[in-house]
Amino acid sequence: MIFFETGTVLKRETFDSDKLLIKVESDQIWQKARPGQFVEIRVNSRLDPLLRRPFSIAFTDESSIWLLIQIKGKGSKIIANSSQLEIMGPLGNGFPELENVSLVGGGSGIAPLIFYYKTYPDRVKRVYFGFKTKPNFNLYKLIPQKKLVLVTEDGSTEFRGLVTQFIECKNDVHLVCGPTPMMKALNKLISSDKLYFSLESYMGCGVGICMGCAVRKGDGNGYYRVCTEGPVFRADKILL
Amino acid sequence: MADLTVEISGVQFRNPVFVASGTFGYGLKLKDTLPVGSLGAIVTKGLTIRPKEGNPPQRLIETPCGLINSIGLENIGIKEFIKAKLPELKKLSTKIIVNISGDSERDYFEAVEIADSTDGIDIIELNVSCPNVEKGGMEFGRNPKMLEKLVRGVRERTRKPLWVKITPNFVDIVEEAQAAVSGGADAITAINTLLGMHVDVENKKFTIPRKFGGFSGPAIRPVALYIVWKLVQSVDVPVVAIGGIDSLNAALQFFFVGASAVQIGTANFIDPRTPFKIIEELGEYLEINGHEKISEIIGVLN
Repeated sequence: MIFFETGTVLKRETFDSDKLLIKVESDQIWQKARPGQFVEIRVNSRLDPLLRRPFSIAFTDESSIWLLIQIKGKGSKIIANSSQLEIMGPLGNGFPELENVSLVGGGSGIAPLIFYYKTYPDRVKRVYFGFKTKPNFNLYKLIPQKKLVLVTEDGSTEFRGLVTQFIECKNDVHLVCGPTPMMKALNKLISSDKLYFSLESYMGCGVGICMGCAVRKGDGNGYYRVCTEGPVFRADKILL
Repeated sequence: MADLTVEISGVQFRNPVFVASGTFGYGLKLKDTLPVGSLGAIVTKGLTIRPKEGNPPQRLIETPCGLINSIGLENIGIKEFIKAKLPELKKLSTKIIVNISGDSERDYFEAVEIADSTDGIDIIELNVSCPNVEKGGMEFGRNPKMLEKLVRGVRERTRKPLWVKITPNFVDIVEEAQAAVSGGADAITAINTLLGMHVDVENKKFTIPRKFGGFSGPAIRPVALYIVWKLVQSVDVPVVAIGGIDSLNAALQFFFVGASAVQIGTANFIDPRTPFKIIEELGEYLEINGHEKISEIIGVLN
């Protein structure tokens, strides 16, 4: 069941130079959403930009959902500044619910992992988040310092470099969302049956009817749709 | 309640609002979310005799009020469709139109023979207008002689109503439609996508690996409306309209110029509730304006 909601934006917090965390009122989606699922947001009613934009759910509160909006172009800019949003969701399959996992996120890819941590804090051993520079937003408000390894390329946090340099238990299951180079690096580091990637894709419909968001199957034969067969895939099921 | 039923090529539809091929999957994806049985008809994703994996990504790019796609007819094949999807579809109280495509005449004929002998398929819509495959597809649509021969061959192989979905690219579309009718088409579906292109300036490359794709959405509506009007004047079979229809107002424009039904395509991607809203609003429109039947507004402008 997919819900269509129009929600007022209740809060808008700066995350870093090109991202915002926004809280949107929700009637049903907040209750049904699982970590790793996403929503599709209508940009406006003027048909330009035409398509909805997909965003992972960053976490939920009572009667609201939080989204991490990265401003990439015209559509996301309009969404970031809207006071009301037309939202369709929850969409896609979430992460598998596993014990003793580590979470690895880069940039806006941290959103679904925050949701996983907030839903199953006891199942998560370690959280590795990587950014170019330290975000303005205090992530320790969401994930305790003892579990969160905050890595920055410019060294503005304690850990300088790329997240992949700090992974400790390579035999644990890792749930991942972030840029393709990061996922490719993890593919070399961790056995593919212990890696789950949440993919980002240019999407048409978000609900499996346009076949637009194709990702190559792991055996090289054909494609999966990121929106409905994903966005979470075990690493050996797809070719990046 | 105004009467929305229409009859086209001997088939009775509960209303004249259909979902277009390639824009609603196989029709079942949203059955738990939307009342898909209340559609006039579901036109399936384009089916071929053998499964097709489709084109490599990036397959889509939006443009102002429009969308370019290069899906490449990804589909499970007509046999698998009949086995895995049709039994569920048959339970819906809507008509099922299978859209058939092929690389060669033989491919079309084989797929049509299978469709012909299958219960639950109400109509065959021949796709001779897909711009996103190497062979077949649009090649048939752009050559009226080839098209007439293909349609005639298909006609010999099926007693089911046969519609032909034609391309607005390259040819005099009236000539193309007339060729399809001469070959035995019972109705014409127009239009398939226009050819379109987009360039990724930042990376100095074509956005879509195949360079060009099929351009659809509200941006093409005036082109589609003109062609539908022109076809209604020129051919003796019903014209089913498609091209950028996203609202009651857009649908009415096509009915007024003579479309027997409308197909909703790209608008489903923006909001899959669109065809259902149009059905509801169409009924209201007829009531408010004192019409008893949808037929009273079809072709009032010529």
